Amino acid sequence: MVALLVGLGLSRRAAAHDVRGEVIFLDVGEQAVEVELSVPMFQLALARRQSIEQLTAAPREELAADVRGSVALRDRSGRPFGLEVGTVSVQQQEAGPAMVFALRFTPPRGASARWFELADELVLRTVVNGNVYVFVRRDLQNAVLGDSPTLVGTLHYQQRRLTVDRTAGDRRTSLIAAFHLGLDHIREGTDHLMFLLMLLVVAPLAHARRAWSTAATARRGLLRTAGIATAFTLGHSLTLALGAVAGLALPTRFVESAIAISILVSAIHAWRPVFAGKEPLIAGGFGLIHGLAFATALSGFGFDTPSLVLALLGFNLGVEAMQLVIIALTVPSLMMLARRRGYAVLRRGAAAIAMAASAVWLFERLSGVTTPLSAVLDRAARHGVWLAVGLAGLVVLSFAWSRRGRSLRTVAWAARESL
Amino acid sequence: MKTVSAMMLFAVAACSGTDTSTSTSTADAASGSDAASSGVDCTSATTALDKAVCQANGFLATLSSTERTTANPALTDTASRTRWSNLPTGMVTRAGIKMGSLSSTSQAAALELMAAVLTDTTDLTGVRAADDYLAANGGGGGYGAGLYYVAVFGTPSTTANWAIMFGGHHMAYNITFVGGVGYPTPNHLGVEPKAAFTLNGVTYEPLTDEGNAMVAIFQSMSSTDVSSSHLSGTFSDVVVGPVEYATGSSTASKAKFPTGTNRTGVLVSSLSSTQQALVTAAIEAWVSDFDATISSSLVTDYTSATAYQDTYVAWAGSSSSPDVDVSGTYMRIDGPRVWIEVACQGGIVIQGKTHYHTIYRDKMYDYGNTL
Repeated sequence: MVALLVGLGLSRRAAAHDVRGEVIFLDVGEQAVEVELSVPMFQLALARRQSIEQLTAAPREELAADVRGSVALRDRSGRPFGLEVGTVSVQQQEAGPAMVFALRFTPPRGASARWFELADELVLRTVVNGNVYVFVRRDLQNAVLGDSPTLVGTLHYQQRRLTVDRTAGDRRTSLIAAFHLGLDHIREGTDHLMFLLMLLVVAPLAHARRAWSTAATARRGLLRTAGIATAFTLGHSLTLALGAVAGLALPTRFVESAIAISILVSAIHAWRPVFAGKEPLIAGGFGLIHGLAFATALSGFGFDTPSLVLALLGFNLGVEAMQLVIIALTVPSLMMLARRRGYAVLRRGAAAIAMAASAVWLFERLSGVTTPLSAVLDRAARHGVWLAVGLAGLVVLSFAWSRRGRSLRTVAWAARESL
Repeated sequence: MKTVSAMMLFAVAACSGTDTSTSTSTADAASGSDAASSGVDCTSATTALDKAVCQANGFLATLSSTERTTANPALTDTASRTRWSNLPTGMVTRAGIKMGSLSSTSQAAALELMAAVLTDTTDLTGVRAADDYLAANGGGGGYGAGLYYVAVFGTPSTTANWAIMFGGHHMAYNITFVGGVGYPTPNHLGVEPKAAFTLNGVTYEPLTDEGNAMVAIFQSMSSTDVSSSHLSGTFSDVVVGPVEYATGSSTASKAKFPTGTNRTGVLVSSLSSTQQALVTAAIEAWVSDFDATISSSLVTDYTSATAYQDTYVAWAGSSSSPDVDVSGTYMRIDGPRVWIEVACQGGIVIQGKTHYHTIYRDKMYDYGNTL
């Protein structure tokens, strides 16, 4: 959309258009309501009866006080929620600069955080034509997971209060929503899947000193696969729990880059053995990093302890369920293909792709520059089931080829015998 | 990790398709005078309704089947029927098909369709010309007469329901036919530049008569009435603009009409008959642009003695009386049904001058009361 606006020569001009109005995003949890309140700069300046320059120069404390006096949540008895004003920043959004406030509302003693009456006079006290669009962005109990906010109401000069009731749902719906969140998170997590697949691609193989050789026994292959999957699961579950419960968090850039490195390492290992026999250790170790990335998916939901434990459980179950599905779809084909002569081609081809992808990801994540590759990979991940189909297809082809080979050899032997 | 910024959300919601081509039209498309012939023959149509139906079908017949899918949505596509806005079409998508992508025959047919429902096309032509003017004077490729969209909803008929939408930046015509009766609202018109401008040798001044007619009401008032009709608060735009955009219903817009103590200003029935005539003239400046078969009964309803006993005129702004060259000046007519607002905003492309946003609605019969 930004590119489109720039292409149409609108980027600066667009800033002056009164696009929409104030937008409020609500993250509703058990303990608190996190609010992200976003106002176009020109509209806030108008509301405060000042110029945009004066608004830009206004001290943070003064703006925070303005918000404290204008925005309130009240419980059923009319008691106000406690309000902490967090960051106040100017963001360049698609339609122009906006002032963004991060607010945290905590319910009064005995009241639920899921039912409140929102009142917002920040713009409406002055600007009669103003509109305030109120969205629920996160509400695990009602399966609102953050990527598609729901519009719950609009405030304007005739309707300055809005009742928000998020009491529907219960522990069961939270668990199911968390399960789906986990499922989706790994299904769309191309990088996590690539790491796992690189380890699985060599699980069926034995190795000579510094090279992969033929397939090991089926039993050994299966045991190794189980070992890798379990180790990865243990690793990511641990840091997921620590991240969600103890708030353990490393800078996102570090975590994402480390994940790219993990893929690079496992891809190199698939090319030629780097840590043969120690795959479970690598899976578990890097699993710790992957788990930190999972933990961010569970942030912002305002959990209290019981709901956090439940969400953690559900999310992890979702991740493991999808992981099992992926293993079930790919490992049998890989194990059968591993016995075929051309397997090294497949293995090294996949490793090459993974090395290239992880190198680009590493570059993107370290430098902050986005390349078209990520879009391509995300789209490919959505059709990941074709990979499983493709592998199965290769298995069928390889059997047909060897059968053909066998009948040719039978014919050749018969021909020789007859001569 | 994915994040959703406030405005990107609207961009996503608003732009279901991509409008990547720049304006390809010339002043010809805007003025319509040198446009190619449409080849649509409606000379045998006797009534205005017959003509509209004939022109609509004629327009659709000029289109390829792909074009027709875009230009002729089902009447039940209510979300599209509310897909209009004051903003440039690159920012907020519209229903229907883009004029600039049509052949000159189809474009001519579309303009003939609009001429069949409008007695006065100077605003339509002038606002499109203004967009060409903006494109040539600093606005760039996001503006232009080709970036206007036309749609015919349902099957044009003298008995069954159908609708016409025509609009783009600063323009929305929404005409709904219910059992042969045409309802012309919501009707948004805006223009930048507000003052007269010349494009390719032709001078345009759309909305000047509307603006002047509104100002005349307040100029005729005593200073007492001027101050009692002054609204507190700041108006940076019209109150009931495209608030129902893409919702497929008029609930959001209906909620914004003032009620109770917010219905304020000077009661028209308390004014002299000369002053009331000025109010009538202002109402007609919008309503009578539409064909008499559509507008005359509406004007009668809006300007009856009973209606004027419940019609308020009001204004807002920082000057001592409405001054359209001062940003933030705002005027409105608030009746039991008629709703007309004029807001004077600061310039977007042309700095230092104000420009108009206006809206004409019928509180009961927007979209023919079918949404």
